[in-house]
Amino acid sequence: MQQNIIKDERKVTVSINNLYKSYGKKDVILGLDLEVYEGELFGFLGRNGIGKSTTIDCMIGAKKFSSGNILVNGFDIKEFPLEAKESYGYVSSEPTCYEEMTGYEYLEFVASVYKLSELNFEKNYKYLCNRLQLKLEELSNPISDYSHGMKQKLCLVASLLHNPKVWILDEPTVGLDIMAVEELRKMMREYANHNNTVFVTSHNIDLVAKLCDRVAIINDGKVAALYDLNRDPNKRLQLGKIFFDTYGG
Amino acid sequence: MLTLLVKDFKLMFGKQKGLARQILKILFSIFFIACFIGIEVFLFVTILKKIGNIHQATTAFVTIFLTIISVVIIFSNLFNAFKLFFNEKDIEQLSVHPVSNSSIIFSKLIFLFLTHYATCFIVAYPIFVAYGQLHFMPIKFYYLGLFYPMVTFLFESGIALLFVYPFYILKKWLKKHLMVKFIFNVIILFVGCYLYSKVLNVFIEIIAGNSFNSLLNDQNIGIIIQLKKYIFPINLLTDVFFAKATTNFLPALCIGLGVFMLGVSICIFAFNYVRNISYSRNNKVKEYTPKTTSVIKSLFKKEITILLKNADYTFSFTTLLLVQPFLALLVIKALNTIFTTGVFSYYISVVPNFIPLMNVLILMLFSTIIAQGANTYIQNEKTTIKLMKTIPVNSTKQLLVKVSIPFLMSFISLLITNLVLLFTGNISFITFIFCLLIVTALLVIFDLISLYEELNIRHHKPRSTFVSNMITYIVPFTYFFVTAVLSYFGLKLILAFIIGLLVVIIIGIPFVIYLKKHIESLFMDLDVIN
Repeated sequence: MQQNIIKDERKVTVSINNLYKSYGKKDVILGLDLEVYEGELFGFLGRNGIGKSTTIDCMIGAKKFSSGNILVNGFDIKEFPLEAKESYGYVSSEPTCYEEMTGYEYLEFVASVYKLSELNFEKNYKYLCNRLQLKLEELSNPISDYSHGMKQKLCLVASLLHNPKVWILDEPTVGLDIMAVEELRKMMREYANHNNTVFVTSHNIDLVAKLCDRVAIINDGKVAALYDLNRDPNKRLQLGKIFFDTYGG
Repeated sequence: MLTLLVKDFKLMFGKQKGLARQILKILFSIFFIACFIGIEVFLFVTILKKIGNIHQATTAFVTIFLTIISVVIIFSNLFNAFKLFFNEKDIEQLSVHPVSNSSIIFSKLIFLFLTHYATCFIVAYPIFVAYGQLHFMPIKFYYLGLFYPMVTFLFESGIALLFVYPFYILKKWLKKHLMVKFIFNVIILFVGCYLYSKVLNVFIEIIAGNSFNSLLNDQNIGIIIQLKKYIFPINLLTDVFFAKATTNFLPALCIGLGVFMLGVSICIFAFNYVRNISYSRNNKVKEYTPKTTSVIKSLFKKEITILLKNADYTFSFTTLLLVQPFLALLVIKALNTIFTTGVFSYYISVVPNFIPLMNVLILMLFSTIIAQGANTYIQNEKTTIKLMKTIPVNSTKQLLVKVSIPFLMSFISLLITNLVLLFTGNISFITFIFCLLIVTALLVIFDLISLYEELNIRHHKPRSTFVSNMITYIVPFTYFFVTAVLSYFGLKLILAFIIGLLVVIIIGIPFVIYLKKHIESLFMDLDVIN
């Protein structure tokens, strides 16, 4: 059931092997391989429409893929989708939540489907709302009344309620104010430091360069470059240039 | 000004996707209007011919007819004025463009006039033409009919503008109070049903008596003549247009102008107020106790929250289910009366099972047509399909919860309807049992086929409703006609019912097998929006 893959004495929490995905005749992912480790903050970069979100959608089980296999926290997303889904928390670039509900109703729904105890739910939502400066009184209002940034904060809170092993964020800073972005940076770092995995895509090269332990750049449906920014700190400064060079900019 | 008018036109009538849809909509509208005018003129001319000799009866009757039209147009103007003046997105858009307030208001009033003229012309002009033909003055009434919508605009739009802000406040308030909104919708539907029952009674009386004579007796005509005196200002206008009493024009104009000025003033004041207010928010800190439930309970709770906050769903499905027993009783009772009395009873006697089979047909149609208002399982989710795909809950379980809520509601309404029909003596016990079984089976199949159609929506294209429409219309009618014909040849009622049940089950089995096999795969293939 759960496959514990250990590489270089580190546990692999996200493993993508030979992933192929096409939309009709258009091939988007062509044999993508990737491994992300426990305790790592991983940046996944690529220009618009190159396949970042498609890769994430395959990872989280939102889209079928043509071939290959994906393990999240050791669970195959095709074979054991429910266990894999319990292992990750996901935030998309556009806040996705039930706008007919109030903030509380939505968080209750998320807590219930992840089978959280009322005690843990209360502890977690209060802590997360406080960290992301989402006022508790706002949670009584319908989500449809929230601003884009507030909705994104609510989605961030919902994604971490069940304390997942892997936190997947697809361009999470869109629409957030500068204070919230700063807090999110801190949260991502802390989350990875607590032996979890943070998998993030962003157009903000500066944010990725400063924050991530490793980065992968996707091009032509594959990982075109993979850098360990801790081992080679110079790459942090050159990341923007590398990005442009990859796409011939 | 023209740009503003074009913008309002687009906002009001929206853009239909695809040329075929546009043509279909236009054809349907023309057909509907033609049918409406046909029935309207037929009733008007027939009644006018009957009462033409009675002193004062003609103008009194025309006044009543035009008053009914006037009430309809006031409601139509109210809805139009609401869309024109209190569309929050439109208000927001206009506030950032360099357009003066007076231009906005003036363009909206012109638009209101144009829609009023068009509606009033379509409904009232045929009356003028028919009246002219009957009184051998066609040319005169061809011209007079052109002016009538202009004159009534002041009064009818004035009333609509007078009530448009209270209507806006009421709508906003109801949006926040779901239970009150629900009760409000139910009351509206019950009133509608009550009025419908009155019309139906008139219709039955006409059918049973084979003419209008029973309705247009001296007493009723006397009431109409008396009533005319109190219907201001339409009675003044009918005197002007139909009885040559031109002196009544001035008071009619004054009343219309007064109401219009008052309405416009209140509407402008309210429009400016709404444009300038910032929407107040609920900033009160509420005591909150965290609650978590089981997965299934939370899925049900989520579905109910989404459904109840969907105005279309509440109105078109939930409230219709509530009035279904009443409505079905009215229709079935009326049809049973029609087919067991008068000339029809002779023809029906050769098809002995006609009445119970027709009752089943009506309930099949009622149940599936009402269920159409709730079968948008996936479309309701919109962008949250991704959420459905990422929560750790089996997709089959999620989809079954989605289908089960409307099904359970439909079933309860069906059971109550059947019980009402049984206890009021409109259906027999055998019909009750089989009607419940056949229609329940049909509802299950209808809901599953709707789910199949919903799961096949791709690339944001509209859902194909071909199969579910077949289930709604073709299956019930085919079943009715075939078994009615067979009953002519001696087929027993119980056998006809068993055939119905088997047919519905046989139709449904392939879909059940297909869905069972492919539900997960179809769900995974649904588009997700990034």
